[in-house]
Amino acid sequence: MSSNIDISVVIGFRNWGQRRLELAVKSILQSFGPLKGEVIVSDYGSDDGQVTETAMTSAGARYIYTKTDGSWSRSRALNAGFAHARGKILVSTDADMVFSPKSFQIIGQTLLDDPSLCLLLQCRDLPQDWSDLEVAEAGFHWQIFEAVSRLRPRWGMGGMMAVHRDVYTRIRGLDERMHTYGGEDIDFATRAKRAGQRLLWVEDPDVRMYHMWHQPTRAQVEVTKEAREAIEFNKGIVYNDPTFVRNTKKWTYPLQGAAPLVSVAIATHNRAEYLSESITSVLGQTMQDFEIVIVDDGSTDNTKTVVESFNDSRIRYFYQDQAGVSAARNRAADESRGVYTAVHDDDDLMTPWRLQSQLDVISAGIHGSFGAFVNFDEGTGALELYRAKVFTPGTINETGGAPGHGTWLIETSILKKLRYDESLSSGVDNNLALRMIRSGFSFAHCGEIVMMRRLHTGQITVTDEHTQKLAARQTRQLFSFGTTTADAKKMMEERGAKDWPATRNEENLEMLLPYLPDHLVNRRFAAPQLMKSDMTDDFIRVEQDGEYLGSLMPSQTLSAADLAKLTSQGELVDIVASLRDGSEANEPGNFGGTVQKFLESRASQIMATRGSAESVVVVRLNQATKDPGIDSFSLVESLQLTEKNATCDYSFYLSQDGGAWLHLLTTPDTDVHSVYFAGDMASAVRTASARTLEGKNK
Amino acid sequence: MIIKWSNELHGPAGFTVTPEDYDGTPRLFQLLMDAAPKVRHWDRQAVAAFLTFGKSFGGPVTMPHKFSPAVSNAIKAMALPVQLDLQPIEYYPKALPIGERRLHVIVDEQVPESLLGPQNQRDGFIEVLRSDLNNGALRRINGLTLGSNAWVHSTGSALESWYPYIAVACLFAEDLDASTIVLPSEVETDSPLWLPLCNLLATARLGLEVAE
Repeated sequence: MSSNIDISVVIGFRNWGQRRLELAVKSILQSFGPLKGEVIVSDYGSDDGQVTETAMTSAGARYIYTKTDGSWSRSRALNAGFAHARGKILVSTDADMVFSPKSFQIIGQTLLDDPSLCLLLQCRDLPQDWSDLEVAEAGFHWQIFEAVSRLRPRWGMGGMMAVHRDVYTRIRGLDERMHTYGGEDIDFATRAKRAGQRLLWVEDPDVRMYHMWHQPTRAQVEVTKEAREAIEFNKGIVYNDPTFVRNTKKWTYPLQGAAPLVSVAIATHNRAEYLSESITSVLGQTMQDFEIVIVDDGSTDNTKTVVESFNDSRIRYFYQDQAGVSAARNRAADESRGVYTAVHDDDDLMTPWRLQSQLDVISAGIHGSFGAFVNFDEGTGALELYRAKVFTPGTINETGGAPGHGTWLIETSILKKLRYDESLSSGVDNNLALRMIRSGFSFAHCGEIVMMRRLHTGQITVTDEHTQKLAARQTRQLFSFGTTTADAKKMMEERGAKDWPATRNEENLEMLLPYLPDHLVNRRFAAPQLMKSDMTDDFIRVEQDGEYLGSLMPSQTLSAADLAKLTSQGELVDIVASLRDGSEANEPGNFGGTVQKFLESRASQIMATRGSAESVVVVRLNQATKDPGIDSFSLVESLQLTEKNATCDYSFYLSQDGGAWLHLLTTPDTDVHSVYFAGDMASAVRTASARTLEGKNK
Repeated sequence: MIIKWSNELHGPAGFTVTPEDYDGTPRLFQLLMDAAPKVRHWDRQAVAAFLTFGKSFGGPVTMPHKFSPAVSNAIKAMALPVQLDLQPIEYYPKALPIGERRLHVIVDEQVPESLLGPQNQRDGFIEVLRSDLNNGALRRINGLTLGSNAWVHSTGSALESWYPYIAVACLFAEDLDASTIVLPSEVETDSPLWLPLCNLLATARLGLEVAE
């Protein structure tokens, strides 16, 4: 992003006094010196009307209002402000701080001179007779503030943090999972450190941050159960999450101009028949912040048409005269804008969780990740697992092999720096992998099956096997040239089970069947599903208290593209799939059965979560008779289902007494739809149809 | 930062670091070379460690061996505004290596004929090759060629990008009888970092020049 702003200071708040904010803004604006600075006031859903855009603009700040659901999150508030920041240096602070006159001139210049730092500032508390009211009346008396203020008793990172824009982008802002407040600053600073920044507490008499006195808010916040839970949740993130790249699943308030997190790099040549399925599997990722860089290495088939048919701006297509696989992959690296590159082959498929799971294991000092893969037979769909072992000099010494190329997720900068060896026509991935280890880079095993490799007759590994083995042999020779026999023996002695991290689902490959190509499998929903997805608009709409919960998907068949649309929403849906020559029946669903199955499923969930429940009664209420007159029963949930403009309410009543549902039958204006029994019959929930019940009632 | 010297089983030797609370995470945790110096003077070792990993130092730094207060002070001055607490410091006077040669640092170019067929023993060279494309070391009477991942550590400004190579030269200077490290002529000496760098090397009894 090109801008002549040197420094952006963001204040996040909700329902906070305007006078304090005006003082904070004024002191910051006065402290930029010769630097070009801006102050962004990020109002995260205030509803008390105290702060107005006019007032903030008059004070010289940019005012950003974000509509929320009423919940407060300091992390999200700050990110919402940073999303509009234009400065090279980004600073977070609070609404009740004032800064001495040279503060941001020094902070900004220090970071412009050395972007490898993360600057922090300790807060000095003003005494009770220096609230914002007194500061506003008396003005900024810095010498007095210095004399009467005291360092905050809790030594820490709060109050002010400053980093270079590139660092903020790399770690993707503050963690938006965090609620309320508490822990955001230490989490952010720790992550900046993991990403390479040195933490520097500014100790300069000309840089001071004073906290204007006000009644403590923390005690008030902590009294609510929700707030205490939020603070504990935040602590859990700070202490237990070793990653530094966050908001991977969704970055609600991204920095303007931020590059995609991942570039999926595909080099292709005359593989149009497979490329469409390969791209579809990428589009179905649960982590959606990616671009797909496709380098067409001189294809003469309809590759370009296939790519363009997706009409997705995240897909970037580059054609070049045929120059070989290494050159094509290097071109992809050159064109990639993502921080990380996921290598993907034009004939292979990603499992939907690939990018997310590989990002989740990247921590300090880890430059990328890899995982296991399965081979699938293009003709039969037969699956064969290839587990991955850890990737170290020791395991290379043992076999010379590298993790499957199509499972790599590595820093794009490494690919750009080391590059694929264009003198090799095959085995280039193995060569690059060993060169990366020789260079000192480290990679983590993600413990997942992340790729499905298509076995077909046109593969490079089949057509160019001799060249590939020669390249692999020589690469290994190069790697081990300096290894003595004695040391090689020692490394062999260290090998063992620890080299083979456990892989989820390695004993359960059937769960990968839904992700095979359409021509190999039948797939359908295992049960009616509530999905928030555009593709479900034609189906039954479910609401609760007027809020849209989702659309009810029947147990219908669905294509790989349909499935990708669902998984791209971040949900891994419950799918039944079988090979086309298998025994699993392909049962098209229907709406009537869907509602029945959904209600049954919902009742089962209610009984499961309320272990003492004897039964759940589902009552259907007509629009005209909203008052059922059965308040004495325990209402658990009400849902409104709309199908083809017809709306019907269903309510779930808990009945501790197994026979209580009979009372409902005699209640006026009610229509018992069904009854589900738990207890001894939990293993086989029995449904009594409304028709049967009606008969008994008579 | 805790810095150790290690000899890896698969061949190379060099520094391995462990970041601590106030350190940044370095790009790589190792500086690897396909040969180990026959002699390592602890002062020069400390200088080399700082030149390679100094951009990540913050707070306490533990070198593999005791080194002089002069080196410590020069490192601290270069690290400002970041405060460092360097240890272990050797307060008992120790001898410093004596060298005679001018040690030319060669990176990404052919070693000049004048150095390959020297008419005198005044000039030596150290050629640092990319370790991902080369493996091993070749010793000559006046020079050493070796593979190293110094090139991956090479980032930052024009002068700073030479720090990892200077670090390798610093480690082998005693083996190669050098008292001055000579950088290629294109290296600019008008950087504000040049004098502090010269001062740092001087504390380990090494000069720094650019070739004419």
